[in-house]
Amino acid sequence: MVDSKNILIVCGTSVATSTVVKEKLKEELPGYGVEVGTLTKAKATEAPSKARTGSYDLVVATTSLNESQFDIPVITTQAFMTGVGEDDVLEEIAETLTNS
Amino acid sequence: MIQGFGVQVLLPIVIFFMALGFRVEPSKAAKSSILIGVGFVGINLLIFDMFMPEITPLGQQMVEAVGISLPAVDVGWPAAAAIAFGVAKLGVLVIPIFVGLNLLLYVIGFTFTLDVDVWNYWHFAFIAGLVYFATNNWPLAMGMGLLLGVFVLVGADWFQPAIEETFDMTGISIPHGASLPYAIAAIPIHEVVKRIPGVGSTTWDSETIRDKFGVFGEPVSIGVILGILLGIGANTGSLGTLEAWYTILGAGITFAAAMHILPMMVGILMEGLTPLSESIRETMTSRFEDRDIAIGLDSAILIGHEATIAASLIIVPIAILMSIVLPGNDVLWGVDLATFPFLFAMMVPLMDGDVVKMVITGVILLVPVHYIAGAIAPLLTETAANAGFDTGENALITSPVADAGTPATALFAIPSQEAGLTGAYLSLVLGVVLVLAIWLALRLWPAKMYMVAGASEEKAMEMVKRRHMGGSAGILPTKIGEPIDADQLPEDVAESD
Repeated sequence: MVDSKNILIVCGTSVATSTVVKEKLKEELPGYGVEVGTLTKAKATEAPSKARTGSYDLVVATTSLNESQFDIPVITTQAFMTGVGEDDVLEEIAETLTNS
Repeated sequence: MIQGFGVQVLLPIVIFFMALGFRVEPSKAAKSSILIGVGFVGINLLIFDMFMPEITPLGQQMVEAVGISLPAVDVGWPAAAAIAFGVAKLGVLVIPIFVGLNLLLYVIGFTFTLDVDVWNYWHFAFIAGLVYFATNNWPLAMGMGLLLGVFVLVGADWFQPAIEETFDMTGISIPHGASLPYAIAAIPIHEVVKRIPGVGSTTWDSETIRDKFGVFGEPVSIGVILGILLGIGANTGSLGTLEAWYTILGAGITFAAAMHILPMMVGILMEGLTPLSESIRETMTSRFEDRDIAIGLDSAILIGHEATIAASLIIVPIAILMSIVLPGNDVLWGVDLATFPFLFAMMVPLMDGDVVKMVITGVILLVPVHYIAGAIAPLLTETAANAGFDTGENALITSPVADAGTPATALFAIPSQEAGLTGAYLSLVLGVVLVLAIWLALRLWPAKMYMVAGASEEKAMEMVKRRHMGGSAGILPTKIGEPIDADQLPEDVAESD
């Protein structure tokens, strides 16, 4: 059995860039052997308190966060908006999730 | 008539065909256009059927009870964006036209930025919509919207080294219609602020601020507090009655609901726009492989910075206080209290992330923000009505932080509102002069300009090496006047490629 993974997607407003990331992860992660559970969007201001609920395996952020406030891995990337290095980041995300 | 369909029908149809034009698969295009219609229905229900009818009467009661008149209700940037895209004749057409214009400007070397952040074209549509309903002149309105677009392109080039350096994002610039005008306006203000005795020597710990003011970062908390305050203001004469407290607590929850649910509704709109925006990104970036290129993204990616969050939390109570004490203010704060990160996002490099300087600059900026947002409210309300949003009787709407109160609105839309066509032509001339001045300054004194925006000397020099070593990018020159002397550059920069 593969565990399904829950991801917290963080951007400035929880509206714009996080939507792009969410759609991309939903589409692409299964191809990397990750079973995606819930993909939740959050604002940068509320991210630490949401992450502390223990419901998430990974934070994917489009804006730089203070990583010391999180006890789960944080991956910060703009690749999904620029299109540059998308595959590398997807690989990194998949790897982090399978090792967690 | 086409207008009879309403924006929630018309917009999906237009978006569908536009998506096909940019080679999105038909099934995907269909699904995403429907989502856009759904998002509009959601925003309409929430803001114009729920929030406005509940909040507007309270505002009027407050005038009777305490004598403060704040007729322009802040419905926030999500509603402003929906209104902007909802003006059928302009809102959506701005997308393909600006894509073409941006490509052209890149090809001839006027800008280094390709703005792939299609969602934020709403800022251009916003200005275009306002100008259109002030002048009834379509080409002029569209031109003004595009002019804001060109303005943020050269502005994005200008601020790119500072942003790259502070946020460690190489090859990314921020052509944002609200954040960038605020950051430019902050440059002269900062010159004054940094000379205030004591400022710059204090160090406020962002962590402490976040703990103390954290509640203001949760939109539901701002909503409840603000709703209750408004409720109390409206019922000062009857605070002893149970009925008054029903209204007061009800207002709290209504406000919180608007703050919390609105972003979700806009998220639906955004989700619908994503496939189109991805195809546009591919169309724009795939043709230029070997030239210095900056991908223009949303300032939302900067907002995680500790100083931005801290400053945005502190300024919430100050803004509410200012709205009460500023003489002649019309703005009743609401949803945009959660939008302050966009005001501060691009000032971080300039002020080295100093929260005190950022807050003081923010407070100074908020004075004109109140007056601009109040002055534009009648025109924005008319625009909203024409975009199919019913604002109800006697109600005025505004969105102070983005974009009703921005310096860009003051420059590009207020003159049209005040003086019609004459005003619009004045804006046009001023805007063109400003754009050309920034463009020219970047070619005359690139290093100095990059430092003014907050880049270090080293970073500015690196950028000069990347972009301004003479010759042309496309057709236009990258450097005007004295050519850059490679020997004058610091060694490591001059040698690296």
